[in-house]
Amino acid sequence: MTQVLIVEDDVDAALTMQKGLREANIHATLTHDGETGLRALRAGAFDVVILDRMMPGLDGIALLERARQEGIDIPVLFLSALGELEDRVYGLKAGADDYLTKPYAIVELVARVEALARRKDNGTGGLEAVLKVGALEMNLITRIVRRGDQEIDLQPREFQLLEFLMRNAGRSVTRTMLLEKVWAYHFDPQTNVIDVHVSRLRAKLDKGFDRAMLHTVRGEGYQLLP
Amino acid sequence: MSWRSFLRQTPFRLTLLFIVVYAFVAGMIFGYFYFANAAETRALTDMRVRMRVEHFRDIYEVQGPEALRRIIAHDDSPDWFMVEQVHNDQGQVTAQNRRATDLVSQGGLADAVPMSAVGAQDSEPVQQRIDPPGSKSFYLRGQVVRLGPDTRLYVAMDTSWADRGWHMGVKAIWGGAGLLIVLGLMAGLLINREVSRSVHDLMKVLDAVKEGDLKARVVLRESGDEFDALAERINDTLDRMEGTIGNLKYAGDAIAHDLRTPLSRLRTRLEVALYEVETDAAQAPDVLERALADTDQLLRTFQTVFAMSRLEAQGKAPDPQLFDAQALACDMAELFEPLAQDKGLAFDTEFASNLKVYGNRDFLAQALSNLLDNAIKYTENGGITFRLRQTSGGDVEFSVTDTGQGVPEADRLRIIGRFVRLESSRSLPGVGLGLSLVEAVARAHGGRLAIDEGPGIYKKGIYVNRGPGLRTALVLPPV
Repeated sequence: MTQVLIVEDDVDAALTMQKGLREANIHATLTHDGETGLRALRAGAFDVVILDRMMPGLDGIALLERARQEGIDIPVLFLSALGELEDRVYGLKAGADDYLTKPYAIVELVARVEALARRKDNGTGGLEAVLKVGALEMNLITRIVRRGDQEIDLQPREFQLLEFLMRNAGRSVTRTMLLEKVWAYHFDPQTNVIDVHVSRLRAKLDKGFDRAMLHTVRGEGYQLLP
Repeated sequence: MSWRSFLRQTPFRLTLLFIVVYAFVAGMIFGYFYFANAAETRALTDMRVRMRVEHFRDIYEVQGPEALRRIIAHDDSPDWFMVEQVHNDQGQVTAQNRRATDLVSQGGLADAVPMSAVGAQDSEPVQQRIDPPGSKSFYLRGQVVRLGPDTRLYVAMDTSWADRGWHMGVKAIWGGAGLLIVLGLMAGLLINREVSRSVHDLMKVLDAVKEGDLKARVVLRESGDEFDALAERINDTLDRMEGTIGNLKYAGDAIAHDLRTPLSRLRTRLEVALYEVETDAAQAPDVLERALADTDQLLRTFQTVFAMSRLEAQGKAPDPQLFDAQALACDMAELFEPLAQDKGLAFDTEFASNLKVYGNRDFLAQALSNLLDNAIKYTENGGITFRLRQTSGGDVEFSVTDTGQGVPEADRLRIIGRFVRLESSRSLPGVGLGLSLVEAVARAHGGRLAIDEGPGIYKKGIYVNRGPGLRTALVLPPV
């Protein structure tokens, strides 16, 4: 079971997070100020930390910097208040691995925590040459994708999209995550532009097969299942 | 102002320092002249005494002691600086000139040779202090010479001739020093008053600002000095601050105003939903999902409005970077081309290379995404042309041209406003913030959003199929 440490001074928000994560079978420990959070971090035993930017006393950035200085390299998801445009940059510079702006959808939080936890499991950040999800096989070196015996011809971006979905197979990924991780842009596209790309990939992936692998999760995003 | 705080002020301290330094330098010069002058006076006196002595020696040797005594006794000029006496071996005066007689009668000069000189063959110069009662003391400097048996000659010169000039000099220097100190202190006081008045003016304004009066400004004295420059700088800063705070306040008001519409929309939806659930409870999940979607939409709207307000208030894009404009255009084209294709629209691109943009990549991407999204959304037939070029003015221009129904010229300015949706587009999704954000992003980058008549489809340098259409362009200044 994934263990998450939440450092958030807003107790209600922290409890909501904890509840949402529990639904996804993730256990969350709550701390409500920076000092306690840092002590808990030093004690270890967590897979991911959710860190609020604004806290009385030791704030998120200071905590993160100190933790990184102490050699604690646990994946960190940084939370910041709405519209603090520079916070994303500060957070990432201070050593955060991912970033989420309040208010966020719980599904988005869960998806990102899962992605971070997976990264920690792999340790290497995924240097494997071949990705496999069920009958789907992606060779990262020859860039050949097969589902069973059938080779699937993908455009470069579709390849990246599928790679991200395969690395997060079995988990929901949101549209914003896809835009961030596959296109490397951080903004809210406001339209179904990502959906169109996913539909195209789905058409290539599931065409001619009885069972669909790429699913739309209502209100959340997408999920690749074996 | 208390006396102590006055002493602590910079100009006054500088004045004091100046006076001390001046006094030290003057003292050094004074000392140098004193010693140089004293040595000169001694040498000159000794020379004249020696010449006189030699003159009398000649007389003694040629004409004898009697003649010498007679000549000396007849030297009766009272102003003569020379004191001349002839003594016998017992030290008694046997002849003296008028000056010596006067001094002896006044009681200033002893009726004898200076004791230190008695017995000397050719004495070294001797100096004695004369204190004539009732007049100023002075020094006699001279020699005692033994001319022959029972004849000693004492010739000395009154050095007060040199002292007189010297005393005048000393007096002048003391007077000058006094004057300097008085004038220096006065100047110090004046400068101090002037400076502290200027500083006081500045502090008064800063205090007023601290108390919340953002309109307080320093009155310039047009003197062009550094205080005026400082005052001008402070006024500039205050202008800037006032503007920024005004913007923030405006942004806050605007957000409150802007969110009223979507909030009331959400409320209405929930009200209707409640009614629906009351009539048919099975609809509850659907209704909740719609409410959730509405809330999401509201949050997105809030994000957008907030981002715009921040951009407007800051007047600049956060975290700007230098990057390749073509790469950004390619990314956006790649992102949106499938959307256009799915709708059966042509999607043409024409990107100039080697154009650099300095700005926030995500905001610019979002702006272009809004332009492309609009173009695709409002075009039913024909297609989109996405161009990147450098204008004749050197600006970097991303333009999106569609063959949709266009926007009447009268409405083109209006559609930039927040939450403005034209009648013809009400049926399509959206809240009317897309172009507002593009405009805010453009302005934060020192650029602008241009909206023109669409020239139709652009192909290989010529326009074909001139439709009404719309051409929107994000124009950024050159790097």
